[in-house]
Amino acid sequence: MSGYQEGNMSCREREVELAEYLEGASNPELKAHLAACAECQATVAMWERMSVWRDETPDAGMPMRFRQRLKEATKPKRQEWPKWAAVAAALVVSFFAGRTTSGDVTGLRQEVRGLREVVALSLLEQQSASERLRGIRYSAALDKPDDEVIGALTRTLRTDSSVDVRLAAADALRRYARTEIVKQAARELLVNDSSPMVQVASIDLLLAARERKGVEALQADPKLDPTVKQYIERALKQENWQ
Amino acid sequence: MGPAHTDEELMTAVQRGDTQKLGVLFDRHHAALFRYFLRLGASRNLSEDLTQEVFFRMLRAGETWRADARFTNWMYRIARNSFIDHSRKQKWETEMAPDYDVPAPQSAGYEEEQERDLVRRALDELPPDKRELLVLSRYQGMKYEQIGELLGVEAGTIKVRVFRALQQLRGIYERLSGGQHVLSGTRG
Repeated sequence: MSGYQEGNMSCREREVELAEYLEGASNPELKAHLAACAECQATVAMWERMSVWRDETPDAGMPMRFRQRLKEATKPKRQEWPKWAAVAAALVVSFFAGRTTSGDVTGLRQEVRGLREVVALSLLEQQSASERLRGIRYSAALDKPDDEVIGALTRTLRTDSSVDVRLAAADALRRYARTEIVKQAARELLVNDSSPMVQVASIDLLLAARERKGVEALQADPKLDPTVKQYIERALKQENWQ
Repeated sequence: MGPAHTDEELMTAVQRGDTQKLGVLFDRHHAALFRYFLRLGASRNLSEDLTQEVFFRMLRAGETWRADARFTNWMYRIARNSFIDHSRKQKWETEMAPDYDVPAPQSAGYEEEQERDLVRRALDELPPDKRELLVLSRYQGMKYEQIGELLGVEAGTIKVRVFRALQQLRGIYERLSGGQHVLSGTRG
């Protein structure tokens, strides 16, 4: 490119000096070169421009979450059995104690279903986000979760600190979108959640619950994130020809 | 806590079994690591997970810590490995569905926001090794000597590479911005 051959030294020969200049080294000769060389000037300007991506602050709760996990990870390994494992053991024992001869398959099914729900509920309460995600997958796989599971999923959707977990909860709740507490939570999140992604998921939930009016009303809100607004428009259009 | 301990002293204590000291190291360095992952292209969520992962790796790999080493170099070595492992694992997933990020609220004017997006997009297009060099030198405030130590390369080579990476970034940026910033960059 033109300008890349100023003075006695070529720009390529000055690369080391230029890099040092970026780090703050003073170099009058290089300054003179820069004043005359548009190419190098523009590259140095790119270095300056990079500062528009300012330092982002991590979530204030991060150190606390880390300390909790650290405590978990370093506590003595005995009595590590989680709550649900104890319940499972108790159920197995009661099954063998009481039912070995009765052949009551329906009863057994009910107990196994109960057990799965206990597992799902206890996973949803774990410290680690990935365990909570497991809990959600587990809950989503349940045939007919009881109100308690739907309630716990809704609570997760509303209050979990991780966006990923909230989104997964929204996904899992789609099948129960018409349940009153789910609708209620979706309405609230649509207005209050800090993540546009979760807001979008709430729109999906409301539309799945045929709550078109609520979604339409929201479009007029001036505080609404523009991306979310766009999403609503598109979603409503799709609804029209569905 | 009494007189401030150096990072190296704290890590040596962790290695000897005083694991709670890791919390102090976390307080000191988590924000820098968080930004490091963020600027390498991870989402905020992932950056938090990876930051935690680094400290848990320290706990597991405690025996590889040598008291005469520089803590931050060791930390960044672990951080790089965590990121590389993660990228390998996630490659196909991210290709299928790019990670949607929730940007942190920053009080910035519209133009500044546009410019920041352009810088981010330009960095996204840069090959990962070059992006890393710029992230370390520009954003993490690392000296070339230290980057050289971290990557096992002569500082002189790092200088040349950083400058060339910057040239390439500028090329991408100018293409993305449709040439409108070329002139503003050359005004002196």
